[in-house]
Amino acid sequence: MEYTEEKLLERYFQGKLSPEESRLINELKEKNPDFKREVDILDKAKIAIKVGAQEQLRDQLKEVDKKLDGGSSTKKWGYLLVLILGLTLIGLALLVNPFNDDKTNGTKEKTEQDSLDLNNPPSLTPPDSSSLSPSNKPPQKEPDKKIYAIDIKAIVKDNFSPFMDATIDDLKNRTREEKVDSIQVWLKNYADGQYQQVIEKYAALPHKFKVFDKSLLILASSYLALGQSKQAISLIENRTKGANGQFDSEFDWLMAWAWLQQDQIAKARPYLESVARSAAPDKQALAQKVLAALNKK
Amino acid sequence: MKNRKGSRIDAALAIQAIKEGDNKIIEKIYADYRNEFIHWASHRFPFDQEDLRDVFQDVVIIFYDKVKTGGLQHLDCALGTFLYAIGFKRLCSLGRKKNKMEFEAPEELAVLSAKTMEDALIPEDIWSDERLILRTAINSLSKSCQKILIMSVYEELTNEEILQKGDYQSKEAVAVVKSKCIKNLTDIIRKFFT
Repeated sequence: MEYTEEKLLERYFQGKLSPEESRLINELKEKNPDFKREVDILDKAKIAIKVGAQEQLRDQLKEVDKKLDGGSSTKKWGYLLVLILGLTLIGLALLVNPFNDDKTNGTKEKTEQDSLDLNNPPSLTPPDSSSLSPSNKPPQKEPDKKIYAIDIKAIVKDNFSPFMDATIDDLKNRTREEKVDSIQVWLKNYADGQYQQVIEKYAALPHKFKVFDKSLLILASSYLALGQSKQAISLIENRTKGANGQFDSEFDWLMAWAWLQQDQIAKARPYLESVARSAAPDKQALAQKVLAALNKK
Repeated sequence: MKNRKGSRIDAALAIQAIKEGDNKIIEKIYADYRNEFIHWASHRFPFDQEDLRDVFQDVVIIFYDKVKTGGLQHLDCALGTFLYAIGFKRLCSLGRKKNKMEFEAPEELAVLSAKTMEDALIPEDIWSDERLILRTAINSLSKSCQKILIMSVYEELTNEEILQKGDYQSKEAVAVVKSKCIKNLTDIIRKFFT
């Protein structure tokens, strides 16, 4: 009997393999790494479906909880209590400081400034951040600034933005939050541009997920979106490079962005040149555009 | 832990119902044993009510899964006792994870047979990081995709049986949607793991 790999994989997923087909699958897995990878993906898909089924069961049990505890009425009282407390606090705040608009504005500006100056958020432990020593910090900052009389900030603003792909972009429009987990919430925070939250929640993510290239891209992008270029550089420089180098040009692009945030054109240039050589065509064009802009003296 | 209520579910009947695809049975099991389990565990282990409630949800789900896909055919003890045995294992893993604590089996569980305790073992990977990622992957699919994949793969329903659930017009439509959903899921997983 003749088997195509596709047909075999389909039957494998359905759990309908004959002994002959099982033997063939094992042979192909040994001979062909791509085939083995596909089998691994199917195995993971099966586990994902099982996890989904278990989540449905958990939802069922939570409904039972509500019935057993008379959950709905308790919840209503809880909301009411929170509302009353909230209104009381607002009232108290107005009583304490009803007129001083200047002070209020001053406080707000300070808070925003504080959030931008969080160079080392205590809850965050980016991979190998301990290895960042003073000697790793960029030397010779001043000469770069003086040689080039160009508006680096405008170039950065016009050309750089946080990493994005279709799966993250898709999350922007999702409102379904009822069954999300820490990873999903984290990705949604990023898609919604809540970069400070992305940074704060990174430490609590599962280790395996934290070291994915895509997770590091998201974290580095968040630092850069908040102007924290030192953290982004440290993160990218200390990462373990992925075997297939799939995201290398994305990391190069972020490194260029980070150095430009520090007005370090000479340090940004090699990364831009790398992107101009090896990234996707649209990114190549963008890198060339930035390089051209930076070359204007 | 003794069966004080005469109306409690018999283990053999519970196993039979789960095998026949009646997942409503877990609601009854949960409602019957939840409070008693939380009371029992709260006097023996240093966890709050919220944790213990989550643990008992895990326990019932694990029991369901053991019957559904793990080949558990019958129990050597009462259903309640078996649930407590799974609960103990789960509490141990929670203790190790949260407080780095080890627990000894309470007296009432120490007397259970080795086979029962073996049956009550929890797969090591059940709360792994990878599982969290896969949960994100399946949650990224539409509700209808999740539903058809769960029916087809976890509950092992045929296309004909899925058709009878009423969401689709023909067996062919079931096959097409299923195939599309599998592709979507594997694409998402591929993106996460490459």
